[in-house]
Amino acid sequence: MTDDVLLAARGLVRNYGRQSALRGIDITLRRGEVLGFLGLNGAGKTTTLQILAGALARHSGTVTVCGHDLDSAPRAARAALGYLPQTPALYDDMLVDEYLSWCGRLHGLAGHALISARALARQRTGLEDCGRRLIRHLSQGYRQRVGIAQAILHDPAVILLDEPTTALDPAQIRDMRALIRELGRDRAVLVSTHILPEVRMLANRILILHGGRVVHDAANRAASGTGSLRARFARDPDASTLANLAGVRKVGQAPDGAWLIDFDPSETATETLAESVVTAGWGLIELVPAFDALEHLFMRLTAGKPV
Amino acid sequence: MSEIRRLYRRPLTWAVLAVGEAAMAVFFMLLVIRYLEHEADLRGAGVTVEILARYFVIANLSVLLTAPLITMTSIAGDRQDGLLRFLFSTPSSAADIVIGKFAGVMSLAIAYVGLVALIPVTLFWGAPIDPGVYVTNVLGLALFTLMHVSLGLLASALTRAPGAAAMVSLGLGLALWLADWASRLDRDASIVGTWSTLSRLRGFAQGLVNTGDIAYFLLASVLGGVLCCLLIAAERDST
Repeated sequence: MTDDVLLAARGLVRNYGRQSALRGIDITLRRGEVLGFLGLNGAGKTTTLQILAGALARHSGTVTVCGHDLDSAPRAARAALGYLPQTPALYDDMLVDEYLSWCGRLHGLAGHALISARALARQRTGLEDCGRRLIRHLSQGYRQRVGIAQAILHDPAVILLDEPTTALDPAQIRDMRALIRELGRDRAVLVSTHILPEVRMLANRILILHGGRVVHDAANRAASGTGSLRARFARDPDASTLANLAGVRKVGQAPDGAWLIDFDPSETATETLAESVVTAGWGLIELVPAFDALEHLFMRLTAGKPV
Repeated sequence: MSEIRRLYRRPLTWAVLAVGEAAMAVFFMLLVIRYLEHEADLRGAGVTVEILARYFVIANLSVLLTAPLITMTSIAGDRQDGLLRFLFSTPSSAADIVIGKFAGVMSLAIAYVGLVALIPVTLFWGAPIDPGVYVTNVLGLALFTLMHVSLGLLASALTRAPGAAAMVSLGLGLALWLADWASRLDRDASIVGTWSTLSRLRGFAQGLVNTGDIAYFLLASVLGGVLCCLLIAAERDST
């Protein structure tokens, strides 16, 4: 990841009548970053994404995309954005190819560039065989894929996805997560979702919104506990033996007797632990990542009534 | 082109074209029968006035009724389905959006005008029709259609309910049509008559091309388009 900031939002405020939906939030997205955007229903996630995409006016604050201000250079800023709304905005009476071509032309694509961009977007979203199908006849999952295809069609630097895996089946969810990871390598991707495991798997940074305010913005490692393992052995070693393994920071025990081992994510503690299990003959019964941290963090930060 | 292809996939489009064309064919036939039955009395006025001019009055009324149907969903429907907000997230300006919608609906309106204008061409095979009057009537119909498409888009930009947009558009069209009657009933309201589409069509019906009438329809069309752009731009910037 570099310090190449692709999207910067400062002091976003949005009110609906007397109710404040956003109360001055800041968001920064860098190239190579997948930002997991979490929050309870009504926290302001969709409002934030709509504002970042330029689809909804804000009452205060600034949004800059790839150095272009959304107010003073709206065309350049919007051209650098790909946006999947919560409900994909589709024309039911268009063919998939027609719709994607229309979206491409809205972003200035034409001729061979449009045809190849359309083919690539269809291939990436598993729509190879759907080009001549009427959107009205597509299932919810395929409609979602068409929505994602239009968001990545023009190869934007910043991609905003509002609940991208909604309505997808498990195989489609797996493919979509792989696609988001791939996109996140050289772009900036913001994924709004309710699904905590999704954020844990995809995001390298997590932002939690509550009551229109950012209550957490940190690297996923710290929030999700990817540096934590849960292990059970047939023949338990001493706690000190585990604590002395390379990279291990802290050792504890869960109420059911399982070991909870925190380690430095930059070290190869999992590999070291597995080697020790084999050489010392502890008899491994269970070795899984301890994933409770993100859920606990989310519940703790969003438990209180918004102020 | 996508917008145009999309319009032609809607059953409503084909229903409007088919019902409109069928109704106009029936009216045309009735006018011909009426003329043949009263030929001796009507010979003074002639076929051009008794059939052609009357036919185009009804054709204009049919546009007044069908324009709200073909324009009502263009912006209101997009707003209802979240597509307008999606369009706001693209590099398209408010003018781009309105021009795109206008081009799509206008292509359909031109098809309707073309079909309706074809029916009286049959008169040229057996009646002494003045081609100039035919041309001016088609011009009047085209300008009237242009204006009503523009007004329909404006009405569609005012609401998120296509049905309400159709009613607003129809009400506006009828008010402008009937303004001529108001001026006839009340001499003090003669100024209202000059704004009436019916009075502006009178010259075209008689084979006269008045630049004031052309300017009226063009200006009304442009005004509708500009107001539509302003409404969309305001929505983008404030809601």
